[in-house]
Amino acid sequence: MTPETDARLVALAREGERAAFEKLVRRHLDTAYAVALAELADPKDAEDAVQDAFITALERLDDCRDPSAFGAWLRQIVRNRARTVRRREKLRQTEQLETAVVGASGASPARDFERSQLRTRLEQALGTLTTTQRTVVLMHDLEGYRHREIAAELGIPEGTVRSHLFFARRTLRDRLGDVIEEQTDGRTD
Amino acid sequence: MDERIDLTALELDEGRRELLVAAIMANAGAELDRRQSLDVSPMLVLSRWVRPALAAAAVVAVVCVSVLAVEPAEQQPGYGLADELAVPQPADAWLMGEREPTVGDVLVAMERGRR
Repeated sequence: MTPETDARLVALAREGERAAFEKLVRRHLDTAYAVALAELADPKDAEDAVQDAFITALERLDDCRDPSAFGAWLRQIVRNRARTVRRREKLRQTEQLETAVVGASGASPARDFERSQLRTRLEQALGTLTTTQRTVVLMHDLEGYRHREIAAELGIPEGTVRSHLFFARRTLRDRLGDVIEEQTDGRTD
Repeated sequence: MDERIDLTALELDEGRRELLVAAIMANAGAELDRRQSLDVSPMLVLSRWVRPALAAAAVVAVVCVSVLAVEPAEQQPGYGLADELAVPQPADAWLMGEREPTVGDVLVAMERGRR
């Protein structure tokens, strides 16, 4: 069975179909989160921004002129939302997301701890990058976007994307030393 | 050569991911409900009632035709327009004859009405 297109899901969500909107959320959540994390460098703020962005997107769904490009449209909302979050004073409502469920990945406690440590160090290292560098390295190395796709989305030349990626990686390697695992898989784009 | 850095530790773990989806869906409920209610246009409501209305009309028509066929209307002898309009009998003749009543006609009609 072929997956439903974004355009189809957007059309159904416009009519208030819950299942269709949930599919859109699940399909675009990871990239939206990466974009928010790049803007905010804080996982909890990023989660808040993503949550707000999806609700804003739903409320403005009729403004989405090209439903097949829902992902790009959503990421722009995430970016704007994240910038607003970054500007305003942090009045966080930790709510239930702060509770014991954190870290319940199903792996062993030792592995969870290890992952948590790595995560903390990665977050700290990412915090030293510029917003654009974070966006580029997260979209490329975490979400698998190509240089030209990132360039189009950020409205900058492809060469600039490559440059940001190069300096972002170098900074991360300097900060993290041998903690990060480099993948030399020969992929190019 | 592409030297990616493994950043997968930054991804949302399954637990947080599900919580985030649940939180988004909970907050989206009101807007989704609103959109569903908007979807019900007046024409759609009318179209939903067309078939039941036609069916009811057909039933009423069948009943009426049956009643009329079994019991034809009884007509009383001499029952005319004047009786229908509850006006004195002579007025019937004036109306049918398309002539204006004379003063005498009116006086006679009033006298009959008193009786």
